Amino acid sequence: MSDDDDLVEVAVDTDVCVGSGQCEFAAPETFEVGDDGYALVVGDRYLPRALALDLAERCPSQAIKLVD
Amino acid sequence: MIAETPNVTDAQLYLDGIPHERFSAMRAMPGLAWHPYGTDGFWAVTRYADVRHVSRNPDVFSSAVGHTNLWDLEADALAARRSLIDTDAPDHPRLRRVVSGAFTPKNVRAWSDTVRDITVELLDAFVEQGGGDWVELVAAPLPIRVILAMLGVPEEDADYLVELSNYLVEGTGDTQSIPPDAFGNTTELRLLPFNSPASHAIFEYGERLRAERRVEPRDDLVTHLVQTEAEGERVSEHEFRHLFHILLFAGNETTRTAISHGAMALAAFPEEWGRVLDDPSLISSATEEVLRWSTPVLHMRRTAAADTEVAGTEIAAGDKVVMWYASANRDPEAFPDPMTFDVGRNPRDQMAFGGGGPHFCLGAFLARLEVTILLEEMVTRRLHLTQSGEVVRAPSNFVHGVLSVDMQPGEGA
Repeated sequence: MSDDDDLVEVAVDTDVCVGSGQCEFAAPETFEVGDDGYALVVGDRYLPRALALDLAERCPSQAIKLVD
Repeated sequence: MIAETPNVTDAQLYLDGIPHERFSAMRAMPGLAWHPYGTDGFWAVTRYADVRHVSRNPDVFSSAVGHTNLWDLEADALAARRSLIDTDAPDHPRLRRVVSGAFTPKNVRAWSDTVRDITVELLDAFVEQGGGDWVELVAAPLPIRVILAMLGVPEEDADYLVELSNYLVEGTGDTQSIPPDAFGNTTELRLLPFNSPASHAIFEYGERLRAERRVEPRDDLVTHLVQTEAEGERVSEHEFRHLFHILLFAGNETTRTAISHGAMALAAFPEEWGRVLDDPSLISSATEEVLRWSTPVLHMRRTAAADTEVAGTEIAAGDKVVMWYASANRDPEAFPDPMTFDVGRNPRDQMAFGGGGPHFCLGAFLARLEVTILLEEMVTRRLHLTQSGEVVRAPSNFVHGVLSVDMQPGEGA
């Protein structure tokens, strides 16, 4: 099994999201910040684990959660 | 033997630029360096990884306790001056969300045409007159005109607001050129942001605009703040004044610095600019490198809310902890060969917008848009810049300000 087959679900924790938009900057096909200032998952919420971890790491307010 | 911490707070040092050797020496010291300041001192956080840690742990490293600048404020002054920047949860996310919708990537992109029109006008005038002071002709007017348009300030008032905003910057240095009662101010200066009477005038102007938009709503940020209130999200008068003030200041002062240092870097590294001309797909990467290189805000302070530890150094509750973005952005552990301006580096995690955490720069995408469109229009014109005079820097340890720098336009290969 290649790493790409290890998919994990990503979600945005709106309790800590500040709408920095860094997720949309890194992965516009997956995230978009809405007019209410919260990031939303707009694309496929299942991502390769390495990519999901990288995106979670980049979020300034640690709002991207991996749902296991 | 423990090396002595080099001084990095003397504002006069910055007339010669960021003291990179001193920061480099501090990054090499074990743990965090204790830096004396006034009658006390602070822990200097200079490595990229440590800045990231402090910035991303707001429960331990508070923005609301003490002050986010180096010096302490008395409790009444802290309360009077409190803005989005010196606030913790739960006030901070509530207040930030009132304005954050306007600064999402999508809503910022909607301003592209405005940014491009202003950029084209300024660049063409700069070329037309054979160059001159890049700060006055391009770097300063571009961001301030954009933020004023977003706020909804009528064009005839723009010069007045620019003047007011420029006085604020003086307040971060040692001397002010206007008297305490300027603009009819009667508030004690220590209760005003940047100790500046210009803050009083900005508050008054903002109030007036808010009153007008209540009666006659428009499609602008001040109207948005008025309507948010109407929808029950509480924005107090204090909060409105400070939001208006901070949007104006941040919109005026920071991207101006990025555009100034960016131009100086393109002139100093012509082969790097040549790479962008040959391959405009590098513009996005070059934008991030300009931001890393310029680091418009040199530091922000936090105050430990509890006993903690960073890089093996024990920190007591109440200690000041200062994150030096100016150092983190030149940390070789994060950016190999950091003193080289490299348009292909694409340093997307640079710290010009801070080290992460809830206070991540609200205007990040606006700054990116402005720098990107400027580079695009320079590529379209195949505009080469040559620095034709000495740079005059601001005597400030807080902003990496450029007061003036002459540039000459030229067309290149």
